Amino acid sequence: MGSFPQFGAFVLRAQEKTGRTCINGLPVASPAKQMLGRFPYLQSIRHDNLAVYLHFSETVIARDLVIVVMEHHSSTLAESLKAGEIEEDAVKSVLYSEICAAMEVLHRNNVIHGFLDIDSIVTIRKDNNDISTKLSGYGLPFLTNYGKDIASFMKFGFFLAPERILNEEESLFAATYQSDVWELGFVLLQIYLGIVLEPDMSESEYLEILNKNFSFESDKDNSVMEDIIQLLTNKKRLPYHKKCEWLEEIITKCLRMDWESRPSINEVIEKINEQIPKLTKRSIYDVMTAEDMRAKVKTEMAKDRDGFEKLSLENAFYLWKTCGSSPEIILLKKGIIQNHAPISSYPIVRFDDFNQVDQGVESQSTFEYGVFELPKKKTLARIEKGQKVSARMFHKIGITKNYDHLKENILYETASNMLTIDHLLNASAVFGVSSIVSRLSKIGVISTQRSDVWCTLLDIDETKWSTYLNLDLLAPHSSDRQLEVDIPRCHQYDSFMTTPAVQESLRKVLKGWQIITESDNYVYWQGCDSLATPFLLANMSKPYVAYACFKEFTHRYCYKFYLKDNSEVIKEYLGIFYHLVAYIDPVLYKHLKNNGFDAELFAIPWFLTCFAHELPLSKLVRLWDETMIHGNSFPLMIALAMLNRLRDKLLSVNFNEMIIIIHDQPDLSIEEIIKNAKGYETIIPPSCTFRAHASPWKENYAGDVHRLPNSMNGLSLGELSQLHCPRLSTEELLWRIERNLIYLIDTRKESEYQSEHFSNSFNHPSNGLVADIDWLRFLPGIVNSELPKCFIYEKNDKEATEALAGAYVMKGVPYVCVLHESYESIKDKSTLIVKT
Amino acid sequence: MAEIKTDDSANDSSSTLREFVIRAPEYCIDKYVRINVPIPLPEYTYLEDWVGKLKAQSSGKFLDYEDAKEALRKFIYDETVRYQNRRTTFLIDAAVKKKRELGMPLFQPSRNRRLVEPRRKPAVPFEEKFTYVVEQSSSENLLTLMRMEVFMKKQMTDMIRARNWEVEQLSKQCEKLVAETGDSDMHPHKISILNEKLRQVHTTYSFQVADLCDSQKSKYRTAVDSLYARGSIPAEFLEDVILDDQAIPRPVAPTSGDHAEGVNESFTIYVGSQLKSMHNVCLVTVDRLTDLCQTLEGDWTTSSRLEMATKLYSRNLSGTTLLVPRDPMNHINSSSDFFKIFEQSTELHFDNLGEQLKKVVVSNRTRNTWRADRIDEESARLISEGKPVPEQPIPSSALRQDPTCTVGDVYITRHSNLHKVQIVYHLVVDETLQSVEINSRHPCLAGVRNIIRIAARYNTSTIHIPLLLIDRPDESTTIAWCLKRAEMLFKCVKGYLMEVCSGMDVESLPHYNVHFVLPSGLSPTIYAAISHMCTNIFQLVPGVSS
Repeated sequence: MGSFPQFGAFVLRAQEKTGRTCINGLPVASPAKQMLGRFPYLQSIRHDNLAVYLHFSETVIARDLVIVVMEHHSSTLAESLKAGEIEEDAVKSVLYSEICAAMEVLHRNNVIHGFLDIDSIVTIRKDNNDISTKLSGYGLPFLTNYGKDIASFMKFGFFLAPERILNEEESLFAATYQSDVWELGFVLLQIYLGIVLEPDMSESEYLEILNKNFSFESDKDNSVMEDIIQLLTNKKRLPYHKKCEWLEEIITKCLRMDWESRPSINEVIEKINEQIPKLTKRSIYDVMTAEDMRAKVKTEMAKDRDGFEKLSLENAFYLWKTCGSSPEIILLKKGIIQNHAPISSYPIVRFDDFNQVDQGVESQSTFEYGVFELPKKKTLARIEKGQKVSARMFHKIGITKNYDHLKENILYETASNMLTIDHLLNASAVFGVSSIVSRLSKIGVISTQRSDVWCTLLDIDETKWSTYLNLDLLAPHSSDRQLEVDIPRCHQYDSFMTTPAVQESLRKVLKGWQIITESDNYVYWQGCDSLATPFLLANMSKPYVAYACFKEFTHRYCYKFYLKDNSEVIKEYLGIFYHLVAYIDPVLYKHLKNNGFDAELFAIPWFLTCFAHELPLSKLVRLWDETMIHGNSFPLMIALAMLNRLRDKLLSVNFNEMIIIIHDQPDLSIEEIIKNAKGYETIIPPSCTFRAHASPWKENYAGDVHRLPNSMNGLSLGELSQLHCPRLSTEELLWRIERNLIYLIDTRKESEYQSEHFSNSFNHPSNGLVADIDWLRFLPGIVNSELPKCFIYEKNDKEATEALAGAYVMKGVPYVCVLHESYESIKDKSTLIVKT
Repeated sequence: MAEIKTDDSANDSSSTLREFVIRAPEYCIDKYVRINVPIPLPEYTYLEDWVGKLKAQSSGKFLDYEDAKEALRKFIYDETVRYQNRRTTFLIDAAVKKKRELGMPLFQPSRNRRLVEPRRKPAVPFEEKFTYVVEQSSSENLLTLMRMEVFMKKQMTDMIRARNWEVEQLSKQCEKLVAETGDSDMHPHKISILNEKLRQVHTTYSFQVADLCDSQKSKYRTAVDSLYARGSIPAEFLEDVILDDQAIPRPVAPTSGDHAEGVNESFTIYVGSQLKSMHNVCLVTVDRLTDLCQTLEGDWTTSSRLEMATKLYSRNLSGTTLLVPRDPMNHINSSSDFFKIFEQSTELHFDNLGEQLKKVVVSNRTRNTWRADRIDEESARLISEGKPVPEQPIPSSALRQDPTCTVGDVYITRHSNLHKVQIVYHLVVDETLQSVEINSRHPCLAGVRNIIRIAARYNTSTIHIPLLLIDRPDESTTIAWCLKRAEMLFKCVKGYLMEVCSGMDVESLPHYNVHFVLPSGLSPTIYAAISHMCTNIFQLVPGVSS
């Protein structure tokens, strides 16, 4: 399985902190948590010559250890040098450029490498057999707060910068941009000489050279380069050495004893670029004509690769994890981490805020130092399952015959889905979001792709966050104190949410959102924090994207909820929600009403946070995946489904217990909620969800009926509460009559009905408009039908008809609604009515 | 485009504010846009944040975003390099000075620099051998090992009983003598002879007990070693092992073995608001807190020993809480109930109680010395500032010598010879706790919090906590007092549980069994009210608890 990537893991021991409580009584983020919070930033730095960081986790069993996983390659620059693979100048030139470019990217992103030597650089053979390099193990000073957050020692190469050696206790602490330059100098030197210095130059010889050259007084430009070359020449280690002036000049400068006199990475790379023509990266499809393109595609196809090369590293690692293991379990099984009985390391005394004096207590676990390749045999075995996996199969081309067989293999399915989603996201740029929603909904979203999927569905681009980037988020703001209280309590069961880095980002997102929406009279409501969290967790290194998603999502699904005075908006929303309950489940509606159990008592946090306050993140994101491919009234459908799941319990109890039951959602199956919510969406006529304060945003991928114009007006809150069923719009009424998708119950006098009425409508018995179940029941097919029963009326009978509809609801008749206007005011009905 | 104003006045290694100045476009009224940037950037602020600040200045909005960002990036980079260089110089000056003073070469091979994680010890520790034996031995061998334990316990119990009998006899004689004459002064000679005898008995037995302990422990360890290495127990060890499970005579039966009195209920609860983790909460009633670890008659069987053997080094420990006075040695010196339970059998795995408590004393000294140092430093500071030094409750010199704990401290002992628990949390309390009302900041609640945190950190999933923080009720234990105290404990423990469950991944949610321990002898109303309160404070899992 050639192209499935390799992953390497290494272990660090996190410092365990005593004194663990903040002033506000909440626990202090442990060093392990602080590192966890910094990790996404490190993960977000991408460059062709940087090995990608993939995963950071605190260990569960071995308590104080953390595991870092990154892209791994089995050969190092040191090995390639030893094997004599790096002798040609062309090869060397590529390496100089690559390594310096990667270092420049790190420094550009404010990250010190701190660990640069020929053992931490990996070499890769490309398809054309060229050698390429990637830096790995970088950024540890950043990750560990210059070593303060870890208790384990690091093993550094010999040729550390002199200032780091002098600071021997804290080598990570002493790492600087300028020490990186020194260590880069040694890497360049070894490539230049084409040899590995160690053991030709021993550590003591190196230190001797440093001793000889170190002085505060002497020449600022004093470099150790000369001495090293001299030493090697004396040892006759450089028989074929060709001198290269410009390169020696660079290396000499890098290896200046005085850190201030060393050039910056930028200067190094400028010098190198002057001498080495910039590498032009040619895409394999970088061709001029369609013919060329076709030929290229053919050769690519002919290679018959396994398809894994198409997966991003994140996706490949996700697949690896799906095989049912975690890095921790693997490392334990392989004995890299050794665990000891907790009782043996039990502390003797704890006092005050978890302080201890018995520092000598042994740790519960020990580990082997170094990077370990995570085995992938099992993953791949499960992927293959007797089949040769090929790129073709990933795209489900010509494999219909074996489809059932492949369906059993969840890994294969997942991989295929990942590629399909990638493909769909690309396609949406051309064909629009509406072209992909149905397939997206069928496949589901995989966590590694969630950020991209959400951005696509929410239509997020640069324009949506540019305002945010121009804000001063560091200045104090009136909400600071409230955020100070809310954020450390927000979704605290999630590891990332307990980290200072993510909490800080959340603060910025919320602050930015407030500054921007202040002019619309929006304010921060408690719950905004819960609502913004999923977007931040999907975009941890890009808070501006999280902001843009948050703003767009609230615009669509929580429109005007965060107005300073939102009572009218919320009350309308709740009123409509209860109308829908009456429509779907009149029996429950009656029970709730009779017990005075109003929506205000439980549903406000549901809608205000779009369930973010109620559900754990793992379930919430699934729900939102689905919400975002539906219209702005989908939260109402979810609420109906949430209520429905408690239906039987609610029916059997009264007010006091209802309150308890309604907040009991722990075993909630989110898939069932989604399924039911979608079901309600198909049953409920879209105009029944009409709200005067609904978001102006409308999805354009739902069916015709969702896109009808709507001439309805909002009702006052009083009118809303008088009504016991939803209202239907005239446009939808006509649309449904045309398609015979409605039961029409006409409450006008028989004489008027006789003179003109809609075809297929029924005239309600003129008994003073009293609900008559026996009459209703005998309307053809009505008992088993899920079609709306719409009451239409003459102008003067509006109230009476609404009361009649309400009476039917209270008698347990589902799917009842009334037309929003009287028969007389319906326009354009002539073609649909029967006149006598 | 960017003009950098520099200021080299700051030469130390602390962070500094640097002013970034950038030329505004021609048409702006202000010629320049300026912001102050702390160097190095404070943690969790990024380039984008500072660009935002720049753009939010008046005239800032006219700057080209990307240009301004790049200029600011370069500025921050250069300034950070300068800062780092200053800091390096500062640190190196100090390091060089120190080395020169010591006459050491500046650069020398350093052991520290090469230090990596300590490798596992070459010798396999007893813990691992024992775990291996428990997991891998044949059931027959394991049974034999457990029988050894049962036999050893019998030996020890017999010896302790003999001692207690003799002591009792002598004490009775003493009493009799005093009673006969009605005046202890009448036979000072006889009494002092008896007292001398009593002392002798104690001394003799203490040697014998210690000898037996040592020999049992070494025998046991040899047996385990042998099982580990050869898969069998040396035959000579087995000769005196009685292979009859019924052979252990009963100690004096405690007053109430069955807990018919009080409340004994168990609930399944949820902790957490969005992500809920499930735990068990039990209410149990006992006469004394020590009952929870006491080995009763019939408890010390091969099967109960096997259970202990499998749990001892597992990640599923059980712990109980005792309320103790400040002096850790009190257990030994005044022969506490707990000590009496402990001495019934040899501690075969860990240090004996005395040794463990001595370590607590050492810890206490270290800590009290540290506190004394802080007090002295503070006083010195106040004196140097000419301020009055507040009176200390204990002079720091006395504090330095103090081997005792402070109220609210928790010290921990480990045991393999108790019943069902391996860990004992000794929560240090004072007498006032018996009657006063406490708030959530009381040191003893901090102690309870520490117990829960330790339990969480060291895989102790079952813990017992005295709900009222008292051992026995007295006249101050009124209904109102009990309910108030119980409510405080329930709510605090609930909060502590939430704390230790936060930040966990869904897959690794912990599950705890928390036993709230009540003393017997309270009125039935109190038990009923507490049980009711428990169901109100904790969110019960519906359908599981009735």
